[in-house]
Amino acid sequence: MLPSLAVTGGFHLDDTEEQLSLKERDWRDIVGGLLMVAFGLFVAIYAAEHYRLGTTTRMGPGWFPKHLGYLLAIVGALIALPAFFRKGDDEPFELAWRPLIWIVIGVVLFAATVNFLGLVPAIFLQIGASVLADTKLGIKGTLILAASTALAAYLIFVLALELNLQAFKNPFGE
Amino acid sequence: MGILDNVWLGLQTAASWTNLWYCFVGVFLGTLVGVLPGIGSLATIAMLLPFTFALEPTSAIIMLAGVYYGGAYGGSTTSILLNVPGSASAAVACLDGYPMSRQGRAGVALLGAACASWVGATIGIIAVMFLSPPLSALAIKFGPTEYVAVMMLGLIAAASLSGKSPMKGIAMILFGIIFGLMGTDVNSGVARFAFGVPELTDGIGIALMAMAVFGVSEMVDSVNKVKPGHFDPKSITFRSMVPTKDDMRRSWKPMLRGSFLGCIFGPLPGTGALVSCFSAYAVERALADDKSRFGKGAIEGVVAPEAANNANDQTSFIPTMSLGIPDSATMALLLGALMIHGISPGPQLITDKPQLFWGLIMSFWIGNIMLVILNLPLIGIWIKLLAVPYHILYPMIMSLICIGAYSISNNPFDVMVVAGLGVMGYLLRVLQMPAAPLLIGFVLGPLLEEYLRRAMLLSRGDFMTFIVNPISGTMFAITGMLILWALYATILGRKKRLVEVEHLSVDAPKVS
Repeated sequence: MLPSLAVTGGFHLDDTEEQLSLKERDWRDIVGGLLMVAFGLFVAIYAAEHYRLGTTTRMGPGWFPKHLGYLLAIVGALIALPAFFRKGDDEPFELAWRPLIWIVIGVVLFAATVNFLGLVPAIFLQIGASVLADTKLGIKGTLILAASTALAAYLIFVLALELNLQAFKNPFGE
Repeated sequence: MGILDNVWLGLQTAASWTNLWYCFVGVFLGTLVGVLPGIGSLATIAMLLPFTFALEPTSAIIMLAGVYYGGAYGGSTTSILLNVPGSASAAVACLDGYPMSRQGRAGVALLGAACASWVGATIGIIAVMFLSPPLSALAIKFGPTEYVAVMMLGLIAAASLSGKSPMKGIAMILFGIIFGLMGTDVNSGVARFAFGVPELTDGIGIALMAMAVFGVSEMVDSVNKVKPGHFDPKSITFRSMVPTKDDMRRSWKPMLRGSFLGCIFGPLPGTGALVSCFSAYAVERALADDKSRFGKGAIEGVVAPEAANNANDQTSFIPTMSLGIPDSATMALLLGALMIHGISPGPQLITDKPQLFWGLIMSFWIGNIMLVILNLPLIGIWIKLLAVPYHILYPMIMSLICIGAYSISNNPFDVMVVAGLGVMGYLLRVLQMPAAPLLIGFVLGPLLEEYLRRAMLLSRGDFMTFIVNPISGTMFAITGMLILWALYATILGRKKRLVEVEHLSVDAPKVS
């Protein structure tokens, strides 16, 4: 068991202090664990303050979330603590900001416009934002993609499945 | 009713024109997304979920299940031809399938994989037919105390055995349960964690949660990562599929052994298709006279994991349908689909809704026959799809997610929820927090609370009831051991895995 621990870079109480610089530690798990602690404590305290706890025999709406919250905080600490004493792996720990922002903006634009302008404009806006997540499609390609997606969506969801969606809406009408 | 009556009832249900159509749509879409990189069957089921609300529950579940096992067929196709697994478990098919393809034996490998899939599925279906009814008959006698214990065991096992870090799996189970509690509490009528938002008093629907954590976050993660593949479909003809006598002699035993392993790992919580496939591969390698053939195009290395994969996919329905406890995120989604239709999962399902249960099982059979027909002659079409670039695909998939979320209740608020949860799902993905336990916890959370309340009411608040009761005591003992193992793994072992995937260097993309 011991040699394998040495190879996998496990939990060495005696020699980690000198060898591990702050930067090398497993920050992914430290951050993840601490976020779980924060979320768990928030849930537990919020539930305890806002909902009746009741007794174990007759549980109120607050009992289960309160205990779950504390449990999650403990588990989060168990993830974060050992991670502080070990080396992180080589995989980079970073967010893909560009795809995240543009894809989410696309979804938000769809939500903001679908009731207001109708399905086709909403899809054009959503696709227009989504393609910015990578830079491979030009303006012409984007327009073709948006037009064909909107047409397919109209045929499938409005005509065939008869969902309660309108292709175009007059924002000033009704 | 005897088993033959049930089979007859199931066949009548599954072979109605409507259900045949939805079964076909399901396996067709499953094969499609299995072939396409960067989108898995899980995300597809999530996206289809809103559109199944209007269907009969049986048709809905037949179609969604078809996507699930159809994805396994499609996934192995790309493994064999391009060395790119379309799904995580199809990575094993790369090991010997791709070398076969490079030796000009792609046709034989594809035919072998299809036959093995069919054999594995058939054996899996027989196991479901014979094991589910007695298991549910046993579980129907469970009181709330035993039920809490079964759920805890299922949850903890699914969390701690599947991912890289058991402790993170447990954290995500708890995280998922908390999200599942949002909305009105059935006992008190209090809207929990609604923060004064009227739309949140009903909680977050499973379709929104699944589309966000498996759809949106997967798209964000896959942009700039997925590359299209190319393969000349002309080289695969019917003639090239004819196996040699040697191939056939070598294949039939591994198929049976693989199916058997799949049937063992399938119903167990936490051990998914990946475990089944890798153990089937390992067993064949260990049993082979000439081990050096493996990795260089041994047909046993293609058919055994393929049979295991499909047997596993079918038998994972055993705990889901007979206990109401899903052992994977896909099964959680399927249970969620049933719940949306007002069908409460649990041991009473098989006796209360025999038409649904047996219809679903028989649809597996029909669906698997459809898959063989779809996959072999049409292989050229599927391969052409691989060339569709991802930068065209992902904006369209996002449109589908938006429309799906909106159509649930014609409310743009639901689309905003998907955006918000999508960001959360992506953060969790970057932090390598597994999303599957989150979804399982999300589905089971409200049930767990309900049964815990009942059990505590019966025992007058005494937690010892779980230990004194022999059935729940045994289950809690196993659960306790799993938690101890999780503790050991988080403190001492650095990212131990049940299956050592790393040493088999396969260029596997991240797939749900």
